[in-house]
Amino acid sequence: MKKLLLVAFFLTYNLHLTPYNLYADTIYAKDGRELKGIVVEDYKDRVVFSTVDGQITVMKSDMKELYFDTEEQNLIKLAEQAKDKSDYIKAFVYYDRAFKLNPDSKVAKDGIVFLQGYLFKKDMAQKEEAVKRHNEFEQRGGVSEIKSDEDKFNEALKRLRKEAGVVLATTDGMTKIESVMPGSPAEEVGIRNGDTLVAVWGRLVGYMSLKEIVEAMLEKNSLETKITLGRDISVEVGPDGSMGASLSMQFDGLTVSAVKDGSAAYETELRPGDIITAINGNSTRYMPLNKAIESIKRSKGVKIGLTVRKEMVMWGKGGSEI
Amino acid sequence: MKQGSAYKRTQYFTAKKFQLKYVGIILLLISLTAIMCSYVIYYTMMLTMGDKLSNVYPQGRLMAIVNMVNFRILLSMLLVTPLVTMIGIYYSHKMAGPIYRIEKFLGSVADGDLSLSLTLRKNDDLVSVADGINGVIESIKGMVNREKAAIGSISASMENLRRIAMSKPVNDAALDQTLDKLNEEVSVVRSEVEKYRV
Repeated sequence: MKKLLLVAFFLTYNLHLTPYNLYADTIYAKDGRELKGIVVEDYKDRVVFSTVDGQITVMKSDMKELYFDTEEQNLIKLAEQAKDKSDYIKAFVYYDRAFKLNPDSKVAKDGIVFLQGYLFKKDMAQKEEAVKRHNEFEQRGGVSEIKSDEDKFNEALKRLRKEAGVVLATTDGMTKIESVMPGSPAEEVGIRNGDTLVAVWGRLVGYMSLKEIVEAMLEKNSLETKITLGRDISVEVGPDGSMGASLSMQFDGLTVSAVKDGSAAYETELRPGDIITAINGNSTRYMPLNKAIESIKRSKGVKIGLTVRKEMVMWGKGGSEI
Repeated sequence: MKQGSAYKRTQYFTAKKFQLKYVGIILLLISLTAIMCSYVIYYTMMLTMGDKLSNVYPQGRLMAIVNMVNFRILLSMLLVTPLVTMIGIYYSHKMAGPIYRIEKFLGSVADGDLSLSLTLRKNDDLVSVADGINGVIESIKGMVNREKAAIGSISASMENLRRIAMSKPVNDAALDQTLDKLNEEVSVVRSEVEKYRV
């Protein structure tokens, strides 16, 4: 009995009572500074870092190293670095390890879904590409054509318009959906003119060039593209202070958990899973749930401005390297 | 007191009601302690770090951490519950077993059987209580034996007294001597009985 008790105690302790480490994200700058905080936005060339003194922007070129407080985030960082270097197998391994550590990680899951599709279709696409090039070469009577970068970019824009049905435009440092083709996959999933493109496959597209964004959207051999859009909507709050939606605080922020059919929220296309990033222009990032609900209720009888993030999966018609 | 033989008790539920009550009290105390500790930790953390945390951590991430901590506390409580229950049963049976034996033994004593002595198993609790009970029984046994002997003497003196009273002529000296002896024997019984306050 004593032995059994001892084994039960150690099992309990080791399985669930073992203390785990909690650290802040750490940036080791090239100038020797060590910054502690939380990475709240991770762009291609910079991060927005939340510190006790407020949010600061740190350029990646000024960093020697960036360590996240969780192993899962560090693995995702390594996976993204490997993906950038087109080492997709290594990237897949890192995403897989991150996913095993945290099966709720959206970024890890998206990375796996994307790379599974890519790795599965890689050989087939290479063969198709070789045949296509050979045919083009034959059509030109054996004269090979070297395309300029600009030509390739224009071709990619055309492909994006043809396959996804969207035209992008960069204004004020933000990438907006300039137009959506009627009947296109983009229209089918609910992309609207004027929406802001926030992320592609979970990676923020802010500060990326249009060329890089188009490349990300037409990622090699991927039939599906997961995008995150930002949209400003205006919802009328009823006299009872309700707009017909339930909100909850999830890991990614203030999330719409349910929407009543036919309600004002439903009419403005607010849907479960959408993330409200601002209420009347005030960011919800550091806003407690009860304060967010209060600020909506205070606007009873009038319209309230919400900035919403929506995740969408767009099924294109596939394609090859741009 | 005789110690029990080498064999150990294998039946851990000797007094189910008593043991469940014992385990229930332990679980209740542990739960109350956990709730109080959690409240104190949360209150202190939020009082000292709440503002800073909510200004650095996005609310979603902060809530995820709070939820994870709550989940871990709950999970730990759930995992500790069977462990505490097992410990409670193990230790309560070391008390419930002797209590059951003491109850049975005192029942026999109440029926007038003073020939037995209370024996407990090795490692049982309440050994000192059993020793005390055995001491009391030994003392009662001694008193009963002394009273039995005194009553025997009184009976013999009474018989002697009857013979003297029936003899002709009555031997006054022998009568006085027997009466004195009888008086002495009654005093012995009285002093034995008077030791006890009723």
